[in-house]
Amino acid sequence: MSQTVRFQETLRRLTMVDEGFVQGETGLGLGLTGAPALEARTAALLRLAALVAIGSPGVCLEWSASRALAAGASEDEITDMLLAIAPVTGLARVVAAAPEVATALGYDVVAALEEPDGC
Amino acid sequence: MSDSDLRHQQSQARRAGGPAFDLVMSKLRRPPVRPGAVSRSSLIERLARGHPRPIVSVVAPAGYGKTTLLSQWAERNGQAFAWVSVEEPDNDPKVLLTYVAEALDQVEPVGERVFAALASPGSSVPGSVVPRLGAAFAAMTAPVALVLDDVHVLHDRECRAALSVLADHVPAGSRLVLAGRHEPPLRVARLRAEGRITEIGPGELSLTPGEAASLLRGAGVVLGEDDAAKLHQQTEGWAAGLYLAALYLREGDPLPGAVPSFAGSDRLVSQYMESEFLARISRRQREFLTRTAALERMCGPLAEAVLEAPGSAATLADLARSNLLLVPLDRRGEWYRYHRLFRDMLLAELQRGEPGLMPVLRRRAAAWCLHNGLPEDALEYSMAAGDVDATAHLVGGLAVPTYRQGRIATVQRWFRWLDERGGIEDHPLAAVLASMLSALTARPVAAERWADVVDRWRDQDAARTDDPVAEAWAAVLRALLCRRGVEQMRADADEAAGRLAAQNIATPVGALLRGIARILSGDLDGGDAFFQDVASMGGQVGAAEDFAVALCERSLVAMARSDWSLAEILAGQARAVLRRAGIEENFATPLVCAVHARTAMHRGDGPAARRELVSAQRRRPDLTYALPYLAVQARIELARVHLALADLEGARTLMREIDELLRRRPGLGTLTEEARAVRSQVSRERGSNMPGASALTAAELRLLPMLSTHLSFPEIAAEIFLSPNTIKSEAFSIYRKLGVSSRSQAVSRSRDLGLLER
Repeated sequence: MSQTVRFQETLRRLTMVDEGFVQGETGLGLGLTGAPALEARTAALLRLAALVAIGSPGVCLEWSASRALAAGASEDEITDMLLAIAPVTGLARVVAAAPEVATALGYDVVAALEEPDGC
Repeated sequence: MSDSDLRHQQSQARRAGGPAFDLVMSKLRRPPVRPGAVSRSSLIERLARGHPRPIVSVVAPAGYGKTTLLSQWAERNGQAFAWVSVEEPDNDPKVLLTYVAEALDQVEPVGERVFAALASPGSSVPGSVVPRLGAAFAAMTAPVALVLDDVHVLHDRECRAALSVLADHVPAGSRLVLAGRHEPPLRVARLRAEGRITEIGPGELSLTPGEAASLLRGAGVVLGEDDAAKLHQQTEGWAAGLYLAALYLREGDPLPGAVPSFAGSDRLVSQYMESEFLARISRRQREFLTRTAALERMCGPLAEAVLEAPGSAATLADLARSNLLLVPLDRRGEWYRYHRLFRDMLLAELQRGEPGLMPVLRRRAAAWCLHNGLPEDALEYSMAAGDVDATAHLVGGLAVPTYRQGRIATVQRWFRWLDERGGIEDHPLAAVLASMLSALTARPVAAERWADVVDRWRDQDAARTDDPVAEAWAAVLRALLCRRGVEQMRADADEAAGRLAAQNIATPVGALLRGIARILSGDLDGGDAFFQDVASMGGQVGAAEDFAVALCERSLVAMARSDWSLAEILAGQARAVLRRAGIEENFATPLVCAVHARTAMHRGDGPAARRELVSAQRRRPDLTYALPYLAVQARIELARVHLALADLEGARTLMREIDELLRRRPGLGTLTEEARAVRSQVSRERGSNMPGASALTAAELRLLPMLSTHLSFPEIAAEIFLSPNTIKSEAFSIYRKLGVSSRSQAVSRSRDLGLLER
């Protein structure tokens, strides 16, 4: 087994969005503790919305959507959030985000659109 | 009976620590070295020389003498050899690996756990079987060479992936030898780079002029040096071509002046040799050869039955004596098969000369096999003959026992074959079985599809043939799938029980489903009474799963009555029942683990509860909406334990799955209310931590065992019908939840946590 070179480890953990690593190395507080007036799940939904709005890479969207689910948001809340922000972010952002968000919700939307016996 | 040496007959009770189904022992027997075969000493020395590399790959087209080489090597080498001749039906990973395990077992016992994993219908091949087999292989004390011959026949991805992983477990001094017509399913480039593979190809296997002359002599042909050299040149050292030329020459005629090349190409051989060689033997012999080519394996009685020509047994014996093209399969000289290349040639001739005869011959073979206690061979011949009705009938009888032996891929292949020919639409019992087995093996979409077929059959006009047995099982199916709510399930279960009794079919499933329907309607006492009925039918062969589920349901009833000591006893009994039946893991496992987890939690044993939660995780993806009540019940109980252990993420993950299940099957009676109670408890909790291993979704749990193979993400995607991007995202999510940053770390961490076996 080859030695893990530090820069390679860093790149891997960034690519997959390893929260603990990012928090530890950069000081970016990715946990949802800093917003007392908001419920954890609301804060998580807002973060996801913000990521969608600025046009984030797929993995960030998937990670954030998973966190939203873990914080107690429902699938419907997440997808309704996409619909809610579309008028102000534009169609393109929301459409680009949809497949990765779908993956976090456990729905392979690309396969579903391809599947001959699909719903 | 003539097949007693061919097959290893098993008694009704599965031999503990042994294979679950009848093995064709000839596949495990090294083909004997025949007199007249050329000695391949130089190649054998090369294999034995110096520091032997653990993997040997022998790749060449048909007829180059791969099997002969390996057989001679085995004979001369002091090392133990474990041999498996691979065939098409081995494309079921449980079947292939059972043969491998048995072959190794004959050298040194591999242990009960390997066979237990193989025999269990629900066990995961990459998750359980391969790690155990690999560990057993790696732990063998005496050096052994494991040979798999004709490995090119394996097209099933799981089989190929399993061999690739097995190659990593070859212990020092042992070898893994894969022989076939094309590249073996290994990471050859990587093995080459690591210096772990010896490769032998057509170049090495071609006969030298000296070896060619020796072959001709052995075949009883005397040629001058020039002619022998010319023949060697024309065949380019291809052993089969030389041998066929020798047979031709033996018939008496000299080599004609301008002889086309025999080299390597099957087509050239068939064009030339078919017309010439076959034209020179008697018509009776030619008929014998071409017609028996329709058989996979033959013995005297079978040949006579198929050809309807007396004296075939004697012809077979003569042929076996006179040339090498007939390979003996047992020591008593009863069963034979043709050398594959020769068989291909004969089949082509049969196809050209008497095309309409093939299905007839195969149908006769099927009839003989059925009559002589070889129902699976009869099935394979019926399929080869395209006989849909006979196949459907045989599948009806063989499907359930084969499923119970763990050979799910085989059963699925049979049903797929029938489906493609419209066979299931016309045979309601086959449709019922297909639906039931799909439900039990986590394929809910297929289960629903077949259930629709059964419903359509039932709704058609009553002028069709009456089939009370199919009607009874159709009712069982309806109750089992519970597609229309609890009330309907109750009615269907009652109907099923009545019909089964009227047909004198003794099975506990009717009582089990009646009990569950009553539990879901809130009638705990009524349900419990039915579950006790199931227990009284206990001891039935093959009813272990029903029995175990009934015990779990009773345990849940006891919990509802706060009788925790009884609940714990019943939970223990459920597990024992499965273990006694040799079932390690199956669709019932999450429920069994759930009741154990709850009783453990009740007596304050947190660590034990956690262990049960992990065990439940492994098989949770198997419990789908095809069995909605079990799926929801198990998850509700598991969620309760997660909450009790302050594991909010785990509880939330389960709650999401429960919601999804209830969306598909809304009418589940009291379970809806129970789910609501858990849901409100979950949403009351505040806080959000990083999801850990307990938050792995069912999709991620399904992907996890595949990460332990050498398959790439796109290959995994193709295997489980998802898009590669989804696999990538799911994998990253798994890494995050496990706190790792690579695939190998994910596998290693999963093993530490107990999600995968070592």
